[in-house]
Amino acid sequence: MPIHDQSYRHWEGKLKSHSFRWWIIAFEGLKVVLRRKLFVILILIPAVIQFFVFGGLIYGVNTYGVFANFNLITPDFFYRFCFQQTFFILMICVFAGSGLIANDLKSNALQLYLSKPLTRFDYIAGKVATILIMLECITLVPGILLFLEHSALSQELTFIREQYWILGSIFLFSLILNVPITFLTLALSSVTKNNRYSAIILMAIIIGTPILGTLLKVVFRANWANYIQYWYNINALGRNIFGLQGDENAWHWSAPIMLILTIVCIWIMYRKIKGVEIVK
Amino acid sequence: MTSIIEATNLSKWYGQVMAVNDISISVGYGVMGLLGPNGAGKSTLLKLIVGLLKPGKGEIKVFGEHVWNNYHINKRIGFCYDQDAFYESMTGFQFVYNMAMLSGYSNEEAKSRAINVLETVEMIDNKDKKIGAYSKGMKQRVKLAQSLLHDPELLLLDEPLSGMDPVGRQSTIKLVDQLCKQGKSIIVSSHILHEVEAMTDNILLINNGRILAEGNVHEIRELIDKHPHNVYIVCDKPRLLASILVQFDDVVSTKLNKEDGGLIIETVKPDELYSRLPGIILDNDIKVDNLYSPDDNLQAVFKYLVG
Repeated sequence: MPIHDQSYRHWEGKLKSHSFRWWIIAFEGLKVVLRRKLFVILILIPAVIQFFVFGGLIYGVNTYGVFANFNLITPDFFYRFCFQQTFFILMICVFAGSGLIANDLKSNALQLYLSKPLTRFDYIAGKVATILIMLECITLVPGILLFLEHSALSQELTFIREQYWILGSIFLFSLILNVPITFLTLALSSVTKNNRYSAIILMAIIIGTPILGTLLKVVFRANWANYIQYWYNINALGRNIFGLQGDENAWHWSAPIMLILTIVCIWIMYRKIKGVEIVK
Repeated sequence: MTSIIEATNLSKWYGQVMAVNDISISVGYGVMGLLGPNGAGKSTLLKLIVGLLKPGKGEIKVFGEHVWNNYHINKRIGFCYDQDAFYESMTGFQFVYNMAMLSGYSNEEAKSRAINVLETVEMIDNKDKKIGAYSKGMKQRVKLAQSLLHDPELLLLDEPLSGMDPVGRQSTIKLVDQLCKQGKSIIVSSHILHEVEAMTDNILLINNGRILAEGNVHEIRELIDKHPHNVYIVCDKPRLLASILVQFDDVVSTKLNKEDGGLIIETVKPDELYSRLPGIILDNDIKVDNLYSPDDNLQAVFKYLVG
């Protein structure tokens, strides 16, 4: 009968490549979020229901000729679908994103991550992926599915031939919808150990800036006040991407504003995410 | 001696606080105790070695490589940090398994290694309990497990015995000894002299961010023996005891404490005093309520060394 060695075992094999180390952080983050039943029931499922409503409309138009007199399935239809997901985007960021870094700060987990063969980039990429995957699952993925559904059900090929660019617009608009708010959420999460504070600040920015913008517009009677509003900028970019009517020149300002916001958020994260918290 | 850690004029400050002050050290294989009171700079020094902190001045090399912004080096270093850093809702196994995944192991290997290290630190029976329900000592063992799981060549243990029960302490000390025999280099930080003494004779004394002494613990102790030791006795006949003790050459002075009538004896040979005391007490029918050495601790050692 052999006596097996119970002592500490050395590792002779090869370790996985470093390239996808961030995925472990993202995967664990997603697992934690999806384990929260209330979050799934109240936020993720309604977001999916919205997709089914739009999908049902496409099915109705193509199969039963519902609203046949209206040219319903246009670029505006896909734009509206994406833009109507903004409520769920905000909810996901508030309830799933605001604690992603704050909780790590609270439990001193950053020193744990960064004492492993991980870089700050891996850590941030993992956290970004956690939110972005969820957000793209309720915007990009269903947007593409709706496009494919309509393409498959419509009798003529003219839709695909003429409107194929909508796929690119869905892709681009989903990035504009999701990337800045992801970085904003994580930047706010990295400045506090309390996820409630970061959630409140995020809500204040997203909901408060339209109020502030509208007030300033009334007081100063100036259009520049529009650009203070977070959703105004997103809306302006979205309408341009889908070739819809609106302020055609607004994106000249909205694009740099959103870009600067994203860069500032990345800068904040790089400043705040350190292996050791230094209290001065 | 082949150096694993080489620090040259290493300094680190937090704002106006100098945590590590112009340290130059060379650490080779084996176990080394990093001793110092709270706030001495032990944890900062360890974090500089792991690369969690960027040196303010000077340089530090581990295995001949710079550590700051060099995540590859962390494959060869295991760090058991002083603070608790857990997701309390995870089980011990999940936590260690995730750390193994982050270290680059495949799913199956990560599971296997997590089990192996949890066995090593004797936490296998509690592996499925949530970390939030663990005692301080159990958390300490899980921290130790995560530092071991990637089979590091250099192990940095920051206060590894704090919060552990005597059995846990003993098994951890044994584990450190085993790991050392396997050829690992280990740095153990602590502020308790006898804890470090149980693991190694080779120590590095640090205070106010500076290295005070380096080398064999007995040599450092001998150095301290050159300074008088204080022995405090609370008894019913302090004046009589004082008059007897001052007749011996090794007793430098005696002093009465008015508050509790205790006697402070200053001696350069504390061992001789301790062997002599029982006889004197019995011969003179002295009732002793309390006897201790107020400077038999690390702080006193530092006080002597600093002067």
